[in-house]
Amino acid sequence: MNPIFSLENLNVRFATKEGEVAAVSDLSFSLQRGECLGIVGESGSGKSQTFLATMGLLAANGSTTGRALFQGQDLLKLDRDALNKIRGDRLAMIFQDSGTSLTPHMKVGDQLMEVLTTHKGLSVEAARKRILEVMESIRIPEVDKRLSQYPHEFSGGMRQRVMIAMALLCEPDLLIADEPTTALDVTVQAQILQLFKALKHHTNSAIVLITHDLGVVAGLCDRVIVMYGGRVVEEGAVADIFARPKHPYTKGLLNCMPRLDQDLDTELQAIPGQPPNLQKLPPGCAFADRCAVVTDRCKTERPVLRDYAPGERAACHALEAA
Amino acid sequence: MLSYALKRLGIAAPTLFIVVSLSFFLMHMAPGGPFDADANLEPQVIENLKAAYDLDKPLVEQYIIYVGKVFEGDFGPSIIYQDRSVSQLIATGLPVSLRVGLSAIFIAALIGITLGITAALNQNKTTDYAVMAAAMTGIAVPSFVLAPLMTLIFGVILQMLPIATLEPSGSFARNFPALAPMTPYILPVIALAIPQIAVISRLTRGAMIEVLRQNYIRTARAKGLAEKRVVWRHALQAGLLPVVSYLGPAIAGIVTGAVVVESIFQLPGMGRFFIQGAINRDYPLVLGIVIIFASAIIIMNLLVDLLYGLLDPKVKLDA
Repeated sequence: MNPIFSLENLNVRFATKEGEVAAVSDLSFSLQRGECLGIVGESGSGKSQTFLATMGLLAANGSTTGRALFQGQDLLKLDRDALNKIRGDRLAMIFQDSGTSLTPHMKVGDQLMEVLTTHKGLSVEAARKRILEVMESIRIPEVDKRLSQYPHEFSGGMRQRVMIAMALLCEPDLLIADEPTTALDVTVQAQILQLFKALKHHTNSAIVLITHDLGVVAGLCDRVIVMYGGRVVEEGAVADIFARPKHPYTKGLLNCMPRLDQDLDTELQAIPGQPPNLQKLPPGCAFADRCAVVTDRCKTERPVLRDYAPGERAACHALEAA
Repeated sequence: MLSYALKRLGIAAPTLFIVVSLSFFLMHMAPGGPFDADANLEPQVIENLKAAYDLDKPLVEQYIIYVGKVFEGDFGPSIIYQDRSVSQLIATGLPVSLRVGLSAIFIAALIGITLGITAALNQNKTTDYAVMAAAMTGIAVPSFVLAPLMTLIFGVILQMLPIATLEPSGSFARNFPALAPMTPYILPVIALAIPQIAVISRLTRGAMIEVLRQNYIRTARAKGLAEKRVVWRHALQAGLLPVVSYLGPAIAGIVTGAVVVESIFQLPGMGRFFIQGAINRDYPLVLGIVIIFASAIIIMNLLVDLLYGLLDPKVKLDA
């Protein structure tokens, strides 16, 4: 089956006064229709920039190489007008901070409406009908009243629902959610995750979930990509990664999670050290400085991503030796 | 919103009263008097003149008389412009200043906002640098340099436009007879507008750059909206807020007398009366113009706040 979306050797670079920043390096993966892929990593691992690049939303000093194929088109080669026909319609993105991601001086209804009038050419009544339908499905109460309100009159959870509704209006083939629950209360997080679960079952869209929360991944995703220093360090099915993490970084991430079946006295394991400086990435493995099983080879030679089982990839010298 | 406006106007009355009182005493504290220039008059004549304008009475009494008259809407007689009341002078000067000032600010806002948006959308590119360099020049060159220079070039050398008169003349008026009545105002309006264009374009650029960095602009772009809609519908309203707050007092200042420009172009507007009044210690004239100026500021600030309420839904104008 042809993947609906695939990245081929994506590189994202930012030109800064202090030199070039390598935000994403040689990133390749593909995604099937109906699949839910989790992208996990710390801040600065390149997970958000990967998809901002795909959406054509990089900051002005950013540049890309490689290909981002979506339904046969290379998104990185499209000009703004061509991209505008796709994004918001077949390709939609949900951003993390709903408090600042909605235009404060526009009524929420108008912000939803313009998606449909732009992409589907719907009349105001038809668009309104579709909006009501979507808002109902993601359980936003009192829709009529809500549509004529401004974003600041919404709670954080409600705003995030609006963001989700906005992305769903045109029934996208690929939905990218960038930390959709990060800024929310735990109870609201649970509600939003429920929503995504329902969404996954009811649509045939491919979903990419960007998060640093492995718990979210476990509950929702089919497959996970773990990113570190702008590269993939491990990829695999969710069950495999949780049961048999390969890369030391993935193991570290899993150890960081507090567990209910552990003694309360057990100390929470943190990964020592800091995420790498993307301006001065080492010639070897970016994780070498923080790795427990580091060897001399790791500091000079970058490990390549190898297949260890169908669908399971990892980049670590220690694995090759074993 | 109406009750808010009424409340604000209610506060305006005491504000005006304080402004009038302060100005009254400050004016009288300045050394000299209205008849100092007429040195060769008999002392008795000067005494009589002073009595005619109540200037022989104690200052506090003068103040009470003046405030009482102002409450009745009477700004008193002008001292230097004999046989004319201050109200009459304002009635002749204000329309001139209004016409020149409003035209200048309208043109400045139109051009300044357009330039500012263009620069912001091309941040750190050639267009941006060109616009900002021009704006810096506009701010740096004072109007008392610009205005005489324009007079020299367009009035004296090219003979295109009339100078120091309200009578149309020059080649422009002959070539475009339909526009002839406007010609005396063209140079003053341009001289007033240029520094304002510079300020407004810089303000707009800064605010727009700030807004274009916001997350909600990223959301709007992610929705696949045309860039035009992103700028006009999602960015502009927030980007114009600083410009609106600047324009309020700027309009008040420019229409109540662009002192320098009116003096250079010899326009009989409020600015010139203000200068003449101040130099000759024409107390009622200066105070009358101060009241008009203060009122204009108060009204413009109120308008700015009301406009803010429209532009930013988070602003609640509660009475």
